[in-house]
Amino acid sequence: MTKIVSVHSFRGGTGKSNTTANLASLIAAQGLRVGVVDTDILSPGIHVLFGLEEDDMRKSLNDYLWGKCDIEEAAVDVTSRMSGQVKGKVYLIPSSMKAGEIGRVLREGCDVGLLNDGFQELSEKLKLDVLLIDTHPGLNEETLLSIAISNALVIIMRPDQQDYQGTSVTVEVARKLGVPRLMLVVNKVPQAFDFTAVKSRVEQTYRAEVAAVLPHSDEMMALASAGIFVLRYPTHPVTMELRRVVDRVLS
Amino acid sequence: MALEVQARVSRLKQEVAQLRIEIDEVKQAKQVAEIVETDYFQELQRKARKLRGQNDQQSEELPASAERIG
Repeated sequence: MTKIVSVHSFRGGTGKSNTTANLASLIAAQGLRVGVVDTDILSPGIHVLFGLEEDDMRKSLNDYLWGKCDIEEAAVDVTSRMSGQVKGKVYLIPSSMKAGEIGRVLREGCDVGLLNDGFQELSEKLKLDVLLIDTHPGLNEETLLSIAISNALVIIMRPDQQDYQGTSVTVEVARKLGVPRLMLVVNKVPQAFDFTAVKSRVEQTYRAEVAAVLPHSDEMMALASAGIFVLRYPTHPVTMELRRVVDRVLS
Repeated sequence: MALEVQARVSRLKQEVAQLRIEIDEVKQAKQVAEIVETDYFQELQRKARKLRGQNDQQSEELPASAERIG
């Protein structure tokens, strides 16, 4: 059975897509088959990290939601773009980059039931071990659905007052949806912070597991969208921490 | 003067290390209620319970079919 994992943050700019791409790579490096769905339809971006250009996308999640194709037709095997260190497979289901198509989602919304069917079909047809859902920030219907059907939810937050309140709302809502595993990742933490103190303070506040405290990394900023960090820096402390997240998610 | 600055920096550092997280619980309860009281959420919650119940049942059925050893 496919393990469904949603990666979410209440606000944008937390490094959610970046973390999702890195987690996908680490899971696939273990020889597993991973699907990544970009449900951040209004501000898609994760495809860039996998080196996918707009022209490489034949179909997108949008086409599936509008009944133009089966969901697996929108899946792109991006494994070969990942510097050959990956034993498993990574399939990306991108959201459309076309302004007109993004606008249509804004106007019409999307059929949440169809999205759910799509997740199931995709898991089955591509024989996925893990399906990662890169969600839209905030708590819209698509995000709530993704959380509801997930086996695990990874919430990314920064040590920033603006993230605290929203994260607490997300945690409460996810609990009401009965997500079996809920964990927090504190990202972009300035090096001056005491990381152990950050971890225990966040755990105390949200009464939830903190799977990782990730430093603000100059290497990661420099790499930006030009590739997958964990593949480029396999022994970096950030990579080690992300491996811990994978262990927690898969355990 | 230098000492004063140093003391201030060390106080600031301590403050940073302590990482104050402030959550307005009244506002939080209101924000949560706005979401969970919608028809959509109620329906989703019901479906999620059913879905997870099914999965639990499936895993419970396995030991049951093995003659309920113990």
